[in-house]
Parts: sequence; structure tokens; C-alpha cells
Amino acid sequence: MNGLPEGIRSVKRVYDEIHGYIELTSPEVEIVDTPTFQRLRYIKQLASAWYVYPGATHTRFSHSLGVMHVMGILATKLYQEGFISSRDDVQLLRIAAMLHDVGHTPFSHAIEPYYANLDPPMTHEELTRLIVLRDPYIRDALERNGFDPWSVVAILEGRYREPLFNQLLSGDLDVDRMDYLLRDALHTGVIYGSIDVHRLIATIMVDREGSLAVAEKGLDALENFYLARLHMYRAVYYHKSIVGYELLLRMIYERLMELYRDRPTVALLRTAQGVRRIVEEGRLYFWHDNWLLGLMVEALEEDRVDEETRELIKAFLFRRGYKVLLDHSRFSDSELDEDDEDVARLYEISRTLRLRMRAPAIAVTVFVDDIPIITIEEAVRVITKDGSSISAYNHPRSLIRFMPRRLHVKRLYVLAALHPTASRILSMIRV
Amino acid sequence: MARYSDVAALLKALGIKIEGDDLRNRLVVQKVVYLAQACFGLDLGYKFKWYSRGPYSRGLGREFGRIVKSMDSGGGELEWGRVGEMRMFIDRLRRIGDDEAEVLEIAASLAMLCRDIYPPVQDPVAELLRRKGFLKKEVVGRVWEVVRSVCCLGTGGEH
Repeated sequence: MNGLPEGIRSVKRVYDEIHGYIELTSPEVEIVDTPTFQRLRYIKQLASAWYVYPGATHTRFSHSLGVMHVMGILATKLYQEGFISSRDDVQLLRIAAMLHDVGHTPFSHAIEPYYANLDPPMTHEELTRLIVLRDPYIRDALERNGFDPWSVVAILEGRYREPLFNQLLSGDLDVDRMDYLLRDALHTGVIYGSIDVHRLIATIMVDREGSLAVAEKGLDALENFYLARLHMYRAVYYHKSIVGYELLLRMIYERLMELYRDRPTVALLRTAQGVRRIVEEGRLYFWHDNWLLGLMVEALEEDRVDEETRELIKAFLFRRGYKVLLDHSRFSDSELDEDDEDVARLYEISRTLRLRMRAPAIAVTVFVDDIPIITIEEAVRVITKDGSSISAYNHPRSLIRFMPRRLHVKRLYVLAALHPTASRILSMIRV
Repeated sequence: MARYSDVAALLKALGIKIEGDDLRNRLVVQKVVYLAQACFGLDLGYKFKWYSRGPYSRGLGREFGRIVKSMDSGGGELEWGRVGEMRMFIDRLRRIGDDEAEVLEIAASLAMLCRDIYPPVQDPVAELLRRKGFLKKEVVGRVWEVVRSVCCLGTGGEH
């Protein structure tokens, strides 16, 4: 299984730690060779997770190639079975897959909220769309090879004319997740986060309504896929220390954007319009993790940088970031209430701690998130013996219906240097 | 007001009842919000993609419980000038079939086919029937008559 249907020629191969050789076609090589795609070599897949799992230094670059490869295998199978009508569509899907993460910011999810909160906002999806349509390198590579950038965008946004194409890249069981669960599990060492991707692909079918589904014999692999995701949320994506370092990065980024606002590049990076200009001028190549780390190191050496910002940067660079003081995270089947008592209490304690320690606002922070694990609408369908399909969530022999539907994360963080003091105060408050 | 409160207020203003967390109710919320955004210009900020049952917003799906809770507690008032117009639109759809969820699903799917799908769909009715062969052609045709003039003028979607 090389991920290419007969008649599409590979011109290059790259050895990947997960999939072995990944074959690349000529248009794919042209895209990979653009400065905009090469930028992904410098954005780590799991942002600051390597502070907890030292091996988690893999990048968006290898993940993007991996997603393209898995897409190639799955789309080739569906082409051979007659659900995808042409080889050109397999190539289009591979290209959409390789570009799905091209709009990530440095440190990905840690920095994205900065752009989502701008007025007007710039989300990761909008940035991806902008790059595919307006970045001169990517757009030209696509057009030179006869691909319509709007078609790529439509697949990435889930509104392409062939509904099956949308599900392959943005359904519950999509090629993005298939690659990142395998890759993240390997690099973190969290082995229960791994999945049986070959069994999944072998049992994936298309149901009578034209939706991706899994044959009943693939139910075990599907259950494992959902369980792996759940474990990875808890052990990696929402790991207490990793989230702490992402909070820290977000604060540092906001401050550096303010501090260096007089620099032309930073001035552009402060607004959605500015980012758009950088993309359109083909100058996005520098905007990655290493650029931000360099900016942090530079700020540490500058006298004009305020003490608080320096402390935050040191906390990040020297791994003295936020530590969890209280953690009320739990699984749930319902959405997190806005007036959740645990959350209200965490905010109350954070105010008390700040006052008693006479600490600045940055010293104590509350992190709350409500993460869907399974949503009724999106649950993968299982094809039964009579040929009909039902949601895996309702299948009588499925473990999936017993799994929690959400993970509520509710934590109070304190900067490491203040953790002992905060713990002491906390014990007194509790008494 | 949070956007899920706006959704609750919208449903209330349109006379749509949502009781309980099941697929049918979730579909109704998805389709009504899509139609409000796409055809009546109500900016709630939800992004929709095409999923197996037509337009679907992951963000909206995640807020379903809050929407129901907000409706259960009486819901707020939506200050939006086109409530009456949309209510008339929904009433016209209701007269087509007994199954409100199905009619809304057809309407929202047709609207998305003529507005958002790329490459453009020349014949949304035929395309919807291709995608959902179990639907009755006559019902889809009648829903299209309602949807076309409100949602699809100037979008190139013609039947």
C-alpha cells in the first residue's frame, strides 16, 4: 500500500518513522519545496509537550506528509471500490490532506487564541484558506499543476461537492486523526494512545447514504480508536503541565506583540490584515516556533523589557512554568455549566491567593475547558450484516456507548516559584 | 448575550420546541441556525460544513445542552428585525410535511447546496436526491420552491 493508485507516478520517496516510505508525486514535491510548506518543519506538532514527553519533538511537517499518505491509502481503496470516480480525485485529496495544517501559528494551539480574539479575528481555518488561495508559492504550485485552489479550500472546509471527500478529512474518523494519534502516541510513549490504522482502513466502507462507515468486524478497532483518543486527551493534549506551558506561551506572545509593536514585522503580526499582507507577499516562512523562541531570548537581554515579562520568559525557557495547585477535572456526559460550582470556587481561591501572596495577576491563573469526546451527530456509523448502518454510539455490542461524552478540565495554576507558598495558604483556607 | 442564548431566543421566537437530547432535536437546531445565518443574515458566527445529514456546525453541536437549558429557563428575547419573516418561512415549510425535522433538513441542505458547495451545484434538487435517495422527490421539489426565492437568488443555483 503506497497510497497511490495505479497510473499516478511517484517521483520521490521520504522515509517516515510511522508509515515507512511515503511516495510523493510531482505536484506534491513542488508544494513541499515551497518556503511556506517548509515552515512546518519548524512548528512542533505538540507545541510544548516535549517539556513533559522529551521525545515529542515531531513536527507539523512530518504529520502533514503522514496525513497525505493515509489519505492516499484510503482514497485509493475507495477509488478501487468505485466510491471515488477518478485518479485525479485521489491526487486532489492527497494535496488537500498535505495542506490541512499549513495555517498553524507558531506553537499552534498555544498562540491561536491570540488571533481568534483579534478584531476582526483570524482563526486557524481562515489562515489556512488564505494561504491556499493567496500565498504566491502555494497558489502557484497548485495552479501550475492544474489544481483549483478553491477546490482544495472547499475540501478543507467540508463543503466540497463530493460529500465523501469532506468526511475523509474532517469527520470523526478522519485521516488527520489517524495519523496524529499514531504519531503522537509513538513520540510521547503513551502506548495506549495508539490505534490499529490498517484494520480501520481495511474495514472502512461507504454506507447506503454515502457516508463513511466501518464494517461490524471493525468494531474492535473503532472502539480502540475512540479509547485512544480519550486517553490522549487526558495524558497528552490536556496534560496538566503541558497546558500550563501553553498558558505561559500565550501570555508571553501577547506581551512580545505589545513590546515590539514598533518593529514592522511584529506590527503586521498584530492584526488579521497584517497577517494577510505577510501571506500575500509570500513572507510567512519565518513565522514558526524557533522565531518565537528567538524573540524570547532577545527580550531577556533587553533592558527595556519589564520584569514581569522577563520572569514569564525565564519560567518558560528554564522550565519553571505553571504548576497545578488544584485540579477538579472529570469526565461527564453533559456540557459544563456556566455556573459550575467547582469553577466558581477556583476563581474565588485564585483571587484570595493573589491577595494573600501580594502577587501580580499572572502568578495565578484558572484554566477551564469542556472537551467533546463523542458527539451524537458525528459518531462513526457501523454497517450491520443486513447492510444498513447505525451510529456506533447506538450499536448494541459497542463499548463506545458506555464512554463518557465529554471531559471537563478545571484547574488552578500557580507559577512554580510561588507554588510552595500558595500550597501553604491553600491548606489554611481549607482549614 | 452569549451566542447559544441567541440560538435559544431564536428557537423560541420561531415557535420551535426542543425537549431532550436526541439526534432529531439536534438536527432541528442545526438546520434552523444554518437557515437563519445563510438565508436571513443573522450573524451568530457558526461555521457549517456538509456532514451526512446536510449542514452541520461542530461548534453549535457542542453548545446544544446550553441551548436546551437556556430554553428551559425561559430563554431571552432576540432583538432581530427579520424574526417575523423567518417565522413565515418556517411556517411555509411546516405546511409541506408532518415531519418538521425532515423538512428543515431538506430546506437547509438545499440552501447549502445552492450557496456554499464548491464546485457550484447546477441543480440542487437533483443533487440532494442523489445524496439522499430515500427522500421523496415531490417533497424535495416543494421545499425547493420555498427555499429558492429566499436563500438562493443570485447564487447561481437553479432548478
